[in-house]
Amino acid sequence: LRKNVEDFTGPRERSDLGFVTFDITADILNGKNVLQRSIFDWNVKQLFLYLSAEYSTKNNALNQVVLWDKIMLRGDNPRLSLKDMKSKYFFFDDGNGLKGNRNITLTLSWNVVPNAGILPLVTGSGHVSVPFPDTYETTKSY
Amino acid sequence: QLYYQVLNFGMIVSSALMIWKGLMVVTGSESPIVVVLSGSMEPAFHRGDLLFLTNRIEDPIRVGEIVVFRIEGREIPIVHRVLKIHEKQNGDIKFLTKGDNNAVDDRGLYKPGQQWLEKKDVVGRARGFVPYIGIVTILMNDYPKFKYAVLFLLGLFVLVHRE
Repeated sequence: LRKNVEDFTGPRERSDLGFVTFDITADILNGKNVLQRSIFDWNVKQLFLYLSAEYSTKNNALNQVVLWDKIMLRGDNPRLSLKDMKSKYFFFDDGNGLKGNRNITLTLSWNVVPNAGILPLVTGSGHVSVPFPDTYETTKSY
Repeated sequence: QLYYQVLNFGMIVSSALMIWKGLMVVTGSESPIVVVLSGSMEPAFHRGDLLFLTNRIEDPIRVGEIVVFRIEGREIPIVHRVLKIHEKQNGDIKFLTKGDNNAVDDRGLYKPGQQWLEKKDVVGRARGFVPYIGIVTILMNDYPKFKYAVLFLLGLFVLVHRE
C-alpha cells in the first residue's frame, strides 16, 4: 500500500484550503482468512474505500477529512493502481491549520458492507505523512 | 377464559416492550433499530433495509462511519457517512456528513445556517444490518390500510392461537 503526494495550500478568507494529488497502489486482502486471498467472500456485497487525511491544528486536537472515496463492488478487481488523482472533496481546514503543518497523515480505509451482518471499518496498513508548505500559492490552477 | 386471553396478550406486549427498552439501554441509542428510508446510501443500503445502531459515548465519531442523525426540528432520521471531523482537545466535535449516493455533502440538508453536526444530533452509529426486512414498516407507513390489516391479522392470530 503506497501513496505519493505533492501539495500546496491556497489562501482563503477564513480557512486554509489544501490541494493534494496522489497515487494509490493497493491490494485489498481479507485480513482474517489467509487461505482465501480476496476480501470478497460469500458475505461481502461491496467495499466503500476512502482516503482520509488526519492532522492536528492549534484550533482542533484532531481533524479528519475524507479526500477521496470509491465504491468497489463484488466482482471488481481488488487491486488498485491509481495515478495522479485529485481529491474529490475540498480539503478545507477549520481555520488556518494547514499552512506550515508538517504532519498530515494520509490513510486508506474501507467499510466492508456485507449482504447481511456486521459493518466493520478496516484501516489499510501503510500510510503516508505529508507536509504542507509554509506559504500560500496564489497562482497555481487546479 | 377471556381474562386469561387478555392477560396473555398483556404479557406479550410487555415482553416486547421490555426487550425494546433493554436494547435501548445496551446500545445506548434511543432508536437502536432503524429502517432505511431513502436511496441516498445505495448501493450499500436500499429503502427497507434494517440497521442496528449503537450510540456509546466512549465510541468516538470518526470519518467513514455510518451515522444516523436527526436535524433539529425534523423528526425523520437520516443515515449517511461521516466525511469530515474537527475535534477539540476537550472532546467537542463537529462533523460533516454525505450520502454515498449523493453528489454533494449534507450541508444543504442541515438547518439554515447550520454548517456542522454535533454529538447531540446523533441517534447512533450503524454497526450491522439486515436487508429488505424493514419494507414492512415502510409499507405500513405509506399504506395505512395495510397497517390496519396487519394489526387486525396479528390480533386475530393471538386470539385464535390461545384457544
